[in-house]
Amino acid sequence: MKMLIAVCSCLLLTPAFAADPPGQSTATPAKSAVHRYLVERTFPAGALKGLDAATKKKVNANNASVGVHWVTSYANAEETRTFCVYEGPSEAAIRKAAELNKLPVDSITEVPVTLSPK
Amino acid sequence: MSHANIRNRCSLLRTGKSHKIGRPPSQLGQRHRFDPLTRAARFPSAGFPGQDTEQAAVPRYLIERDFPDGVSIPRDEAGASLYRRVIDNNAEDGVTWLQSYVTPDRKRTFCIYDAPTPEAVRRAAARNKLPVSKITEVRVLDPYFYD
Repeated sequence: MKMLIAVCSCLLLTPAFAADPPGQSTATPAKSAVHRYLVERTFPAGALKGLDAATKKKVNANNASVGVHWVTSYANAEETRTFCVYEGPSEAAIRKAAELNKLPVDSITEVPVTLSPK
Repeated sequence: MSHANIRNRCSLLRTGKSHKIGRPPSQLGQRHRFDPLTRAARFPSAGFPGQDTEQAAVPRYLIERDFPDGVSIPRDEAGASLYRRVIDNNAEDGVTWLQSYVTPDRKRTFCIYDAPTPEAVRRAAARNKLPVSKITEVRVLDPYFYD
């Protein structure tokens, strides 16, 4: 029922948003060669336990070798699923960085636009 | 503690009200009832060095939303007014919107929120007429280290 309400509410809301002329949005896609991605990963239980400073340093170095920058990650309570924000030149570079770091990739979604109340 | 953290905390202190679904309006306005100890058990390593215990006790959520027709907010007074309404509606349940990441076609968003419970997030979304596809309680994994 909640879902139904949410969907109905969405239908009520979206036309107002969709009616905005292009270029009138607060959302501004990145104009540079750097793209931002949200990478979803699934890990076996306990796999993230060893994420210490030394490991992070190694991961950051591997990322840098292919022009990728790890911005931040969000992990669920069980630490079996992460949503990671990355900047990089392409989706292929993000995949290459994941390979170098032996990290799983479920999906890569480009998210060039930021909405924020600030 | 960052300015953002301080602001979020102040926002919660100012607006820390919650109510249960179905509760009559006369009983609205009580404080959050999330339990920091319970949360600490679920997120034993929540927060990062320098983050105090109180801040770490505020649950953070990643909310996935799907907009079949795309989402966009005009960069004018109407957009500013919409933002204010959203913030006020969130505040009724002690919910703080931090940031949203949006796909190029603007049909999907990944939104970061601080809130006392997932139910509070859903109530705030309903007031704002926003869809909710999925809610995941998360903690931040920072790529750097401070010690």
